[in-house]
Amino acid sequence: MDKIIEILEDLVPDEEFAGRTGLVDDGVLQSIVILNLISELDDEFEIDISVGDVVPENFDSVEAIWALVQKYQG
Amino acid sequence: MPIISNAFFLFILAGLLLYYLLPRKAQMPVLLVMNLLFYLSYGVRALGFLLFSICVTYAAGKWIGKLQSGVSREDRDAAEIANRKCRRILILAMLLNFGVLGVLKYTNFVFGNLNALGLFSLPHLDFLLPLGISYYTFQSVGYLLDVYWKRIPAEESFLRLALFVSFFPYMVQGPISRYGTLAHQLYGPHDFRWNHIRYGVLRILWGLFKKMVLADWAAVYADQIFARPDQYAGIAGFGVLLYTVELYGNFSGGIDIMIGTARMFGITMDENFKRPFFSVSVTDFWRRWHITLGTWMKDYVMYPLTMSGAMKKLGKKSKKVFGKKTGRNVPIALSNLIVFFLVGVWHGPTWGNIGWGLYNGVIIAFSIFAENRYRQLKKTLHINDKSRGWHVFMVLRTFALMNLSWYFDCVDSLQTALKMIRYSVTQFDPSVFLTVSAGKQGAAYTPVALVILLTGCVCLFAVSFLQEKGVDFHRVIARQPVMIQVTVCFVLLMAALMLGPMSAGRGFIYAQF
Repeated sequence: MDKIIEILEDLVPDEEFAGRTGLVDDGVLQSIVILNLISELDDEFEIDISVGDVVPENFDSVEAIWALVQKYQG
Repeated sequence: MPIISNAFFLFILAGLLLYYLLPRKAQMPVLLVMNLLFYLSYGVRALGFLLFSICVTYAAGKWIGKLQSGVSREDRDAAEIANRKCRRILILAMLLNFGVLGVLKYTNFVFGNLNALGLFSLPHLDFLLPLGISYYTFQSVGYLLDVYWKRIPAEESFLRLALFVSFFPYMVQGPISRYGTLAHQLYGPHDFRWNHIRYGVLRILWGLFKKMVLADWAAVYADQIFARPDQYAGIAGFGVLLYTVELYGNFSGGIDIMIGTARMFGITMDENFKRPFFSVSVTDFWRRWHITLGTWMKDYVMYPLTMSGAMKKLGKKSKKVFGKKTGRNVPIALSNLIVFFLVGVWHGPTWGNIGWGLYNGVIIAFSIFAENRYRQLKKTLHINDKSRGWHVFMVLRTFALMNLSWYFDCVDSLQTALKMIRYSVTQFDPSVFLTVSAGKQGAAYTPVALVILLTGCVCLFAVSFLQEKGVDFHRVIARQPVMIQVTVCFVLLMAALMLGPMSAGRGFIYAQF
């Protein structure tokens, strides 16, 4: 999860991510950032996130993003 | 049946009585019959196209759902075969849905351009453009993609799917809804709630005020100024501002009426506007203006396109050439341009609309690449981007950028648009307004009309500003004594009926898209 926080902090500086929810609903992660994040996650964890999984619930918190990564790693 | 007519309001009243007085299991049939009657009021022929779309969407969705549920996840080969079949069905259904829209809406545009190249001499064909065809096509395709991506189960009942696709409040000009958020509301029983009726009435009256007073008066003047730019050169700049008022009042007013109507039936539709003229960037504007088209394009075009194999390859190559940060944005910027090209095409088969879409796309693509440098520049110049002054500057800058784009939207040629821009910068003489006719009421009424328009705009700004600060007007009004609630409704109704222009209103700009 630390790696995910690191990627997020690089993409959206000046935002606190640890323990936070509502990242999509609050507008912190918007479409361009989400696409950048997916590109980074694919590279970092050697996964291939499917477009069907690009829904707010999977990106609304660091925990949700981590669960998505684990789903593809599993 | 125009939505601003006695017939429409009687239709709604009769529908509400049946909806809440008959047994609750009759609510869905009541809505279905209302959809059918509303659609038939625009002609019988268009109904065939709507039924075609419903049948294709229902059959394809059910077929995809059946194939997906018949395969276990462990059996990877069978899952792959089923997935390939599902993809073929999806593509076929999308081709059929978009094919009808494409032929009816764009054939003459394609023919006209081929003729202009001098290669052919193709005739102009008089196609029927069914009410709401692009709205129900987009809603249907969104449903199919959600089923294909397993976000929602396929609808088993034909009548339930028919209700979702044909729901009358979105037929005139949206909002484009998602099956996941709208469908269960359409099928579930609803108890009568005074709160829903009050919300609906207030929202409808506010929409009527925006449309019949602000948009219709603004249209009276904007139409004349843009039709005779040389004569009204001194107020060319006001012309585009009036067009902004017209467009926003017309579109958002119509949406208010339909969202209010749906709420009276206990159904909450997605919002289509979130105070767009408080946007701090063009990207932000598109999150606040025609929201449901923007999110549709994002979820069903932007994401799939950017995450496609070809775009991923492009991203990898770009990262090698331009570095990681810039390179990963190349496919995103390209997809964004394609999306805005499609947004332009959706707005109508003209090069002006396509240019307008690309104008927005280019600004957003530029901002994607410039973001990091922009951030550094602000640090270097010690700009506090959290300050009120900076916020106001960004709002005004975005407002100016969007107004600039509308010069090209509201005239019929590039030359006229450029001339209007030139006049806006070089000529300024507000007294010219006094020579513009107030429609049937003549030029003598213009000072009164302008006071009405200005006062209405101040009211709209004040309401929007307070909403932006988090004020929920419906809750505030709901807490007041009944007499005050009735007074608010009465004032809005009287304003809508008595303060608008006497000349016939323009109808809804976004209808028949």
